[in-house]
Amino acid sequence: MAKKTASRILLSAPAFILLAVVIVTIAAPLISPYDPDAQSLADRLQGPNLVHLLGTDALGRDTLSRVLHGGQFSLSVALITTLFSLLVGTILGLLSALRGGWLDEIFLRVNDLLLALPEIVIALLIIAVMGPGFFTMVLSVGVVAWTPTARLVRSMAAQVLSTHHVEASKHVGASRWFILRHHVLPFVAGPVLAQAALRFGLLLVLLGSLSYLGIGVQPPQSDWGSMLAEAQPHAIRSPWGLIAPGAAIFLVSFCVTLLGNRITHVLGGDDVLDSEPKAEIHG
Amino acid sequence: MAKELEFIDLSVSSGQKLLLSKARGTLRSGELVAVVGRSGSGKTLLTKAIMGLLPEQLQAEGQVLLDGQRLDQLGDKAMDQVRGRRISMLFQQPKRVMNQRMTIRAHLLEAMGAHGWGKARQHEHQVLALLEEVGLFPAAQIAGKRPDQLSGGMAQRAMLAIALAADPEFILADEPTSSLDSILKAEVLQLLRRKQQERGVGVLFITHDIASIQHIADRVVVVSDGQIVDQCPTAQIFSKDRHAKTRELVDAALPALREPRTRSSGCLLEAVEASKNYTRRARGQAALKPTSLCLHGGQVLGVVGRSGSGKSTFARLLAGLEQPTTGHIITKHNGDVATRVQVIAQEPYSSFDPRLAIRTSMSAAVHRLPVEQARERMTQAMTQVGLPEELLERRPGQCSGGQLQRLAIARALLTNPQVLICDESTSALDSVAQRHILDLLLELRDRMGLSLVVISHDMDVIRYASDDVAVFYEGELVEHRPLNDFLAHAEHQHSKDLVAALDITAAATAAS
Repeated sequence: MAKKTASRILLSAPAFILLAVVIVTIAAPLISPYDPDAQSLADRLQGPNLVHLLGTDALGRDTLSRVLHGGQFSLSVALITTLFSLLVGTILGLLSALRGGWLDEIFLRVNDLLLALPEIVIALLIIAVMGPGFFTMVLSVGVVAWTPTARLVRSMAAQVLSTHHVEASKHVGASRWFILRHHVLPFVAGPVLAQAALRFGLLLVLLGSLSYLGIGVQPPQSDWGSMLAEAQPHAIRSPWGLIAPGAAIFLVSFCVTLLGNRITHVLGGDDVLDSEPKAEIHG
Repeated sequence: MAKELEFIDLSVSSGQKLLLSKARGTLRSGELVAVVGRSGSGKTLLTKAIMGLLPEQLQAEGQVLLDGQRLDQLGDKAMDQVRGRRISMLFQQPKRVMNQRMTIRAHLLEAMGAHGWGKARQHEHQVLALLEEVGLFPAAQIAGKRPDQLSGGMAQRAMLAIALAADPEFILADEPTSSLDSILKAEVLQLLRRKQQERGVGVLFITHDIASIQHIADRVVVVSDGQIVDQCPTAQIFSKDRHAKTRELVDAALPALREPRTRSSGCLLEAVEASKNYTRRARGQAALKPTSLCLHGGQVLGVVGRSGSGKSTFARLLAGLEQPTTGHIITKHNGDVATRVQVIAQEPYSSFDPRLAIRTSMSAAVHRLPVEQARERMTQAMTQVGLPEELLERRPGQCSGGQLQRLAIARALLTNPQVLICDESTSALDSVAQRHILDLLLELRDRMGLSLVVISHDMDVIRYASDDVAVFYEGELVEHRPLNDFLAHAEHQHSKDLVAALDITAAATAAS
């Protein structure tokens, strides 16, 4: 059953495209035609041609090589932050639902506070204090990113904990761990994974915006957001510098969103239909 | 001239599967015909097929004739002139089919076809007359209420008023009394019968419970597995040589004569002045006023009362699911060992996790034991409730209501309980499945010495299973006696009403 579900999610077009993007990004040093940082002012601001497949930027660097390398930073920060928020959000959400009382109250107020502040403002603040860098990026985005997951987990767990079947299990002596493992986690897992996929796409865009504002990655390192920022002044003369990294961000977040929808569909929709009561056949 | 509603070779199928096959019958005005069958037998499909209200994935075949006119060939628009006007319907859950945002008056006006401004005043006297006709007083006040402000019995009366509003020739009633308690059920049945005779309406009454219609129906039609297997005048239904399926339904309606059973003298579970108040305000209405009661080993205690009478609150206190506000529940009568109490809930489909195999849900009771031992215990419990072990691998959606209720009992048995509290455990089942579950519980009592607390709004269940009866009324224990004593000498007015509601049934059975 679980195997079939997994294959229905993973054997899909968006999953294959994402896999391809990840492989290409990891293998960037091997397959990119040029050194992403090698400048050649003579060849600056070229359009696509046979020598430079996606053209060159204002310093004459090869755009294709820079897009391939740029993915490393964007994708890894987004992935780490997503996993971090998945873990922290699930644990805090479960704790809040299981314990209730003052813990739940504190959790909700902190959550409200973080949800009320725009993510980018918090990220700006943290980066201003700690200075830019890989770790700061993860921290600045991760500090807020767990809240939607935690909220979702909390409300779903509270919902399942109040059902008759959980009460029945409790009453025949099920331990907390039994209830968590068999009743709560399977119920929560689908929507949380689907949400994580959607969040990954949003985080990718957020990280791009930070780099675009110049407070994300610092030169000579680059990512898709900083490439957009660098290409902007020359947009009229050479739009390819904008199109290539923009398309990369779009492709990844689009596929991830599709994947998220697919998870919702496979885990949510059909499962519920399977468990509809059938007509009574015999007593 | 008598009107006729006739269906000829009416079949309903879902793809390849035949759900109702070649049903054939006639309903004349002025007669009440009961269609009796177990859940899933196709009796509700019959009414839907007649009304042209089948879900899209089902296909109907055959003819439906209203005074010679083919209803099955009419379009939706033409059917609107039939539905609610010439043929109206009654449902099991009146509140669910009514619009929560409309007052009873608005429902009645709609049914009369009195739309538009100014019409309301013209028809006001008709509205009030209808409400009074179905026994809803004061009519002016009731007319202004919304469905959820009415009790179950009142809502069913209002539904009948709505059904009568357009002065129909026929009424199709689908289990209209199944969710009502014994007293209300008897009242609504008698009201329906009276109105039907006064107005000369033809009524098709769908039910799983022969007991409820035996003194109001003119004819009985028995449906089983999508086929009409038997039909006869009501009086002949109890004769011995009827169809096997008819016998099964009749047997489920008969009261049992049982020897008084032995019980231990000591208390197993005792409530001492236990009360429950859900609101914090001292003046708030108590859900349960101070109640004292003792449950003996091997005793079957029947607890009866309307919804909101405090019987379920009392059960939750006994089961230890909630703590009493004052007083206490004594569970330790044998030294330091607490009496083990288990609960069997009402809704079979909600007491198991729909995502999990039954085996996983059941293992909640034994997951602390070694795997081998746990497996053995489960096998043993399944044998005790008479179910094959394969059922453990299914999910709840693949089991019938009766099977799930047995599984719930098996799960409870895994904990070696001494007391089983059955809170309306049979009210979601049809009468045959209901009887099977009660028999199983009584058998377990005899074999394992279990004590049972059987909570029900249905006096037939209480009479069938109990040694002693406790009656709750408005949060108070008003009567507590041995069954036979209760049937003969009930003192409280509510108890008398309960016994009276039974008496009609008993008298009719004895006569046949």
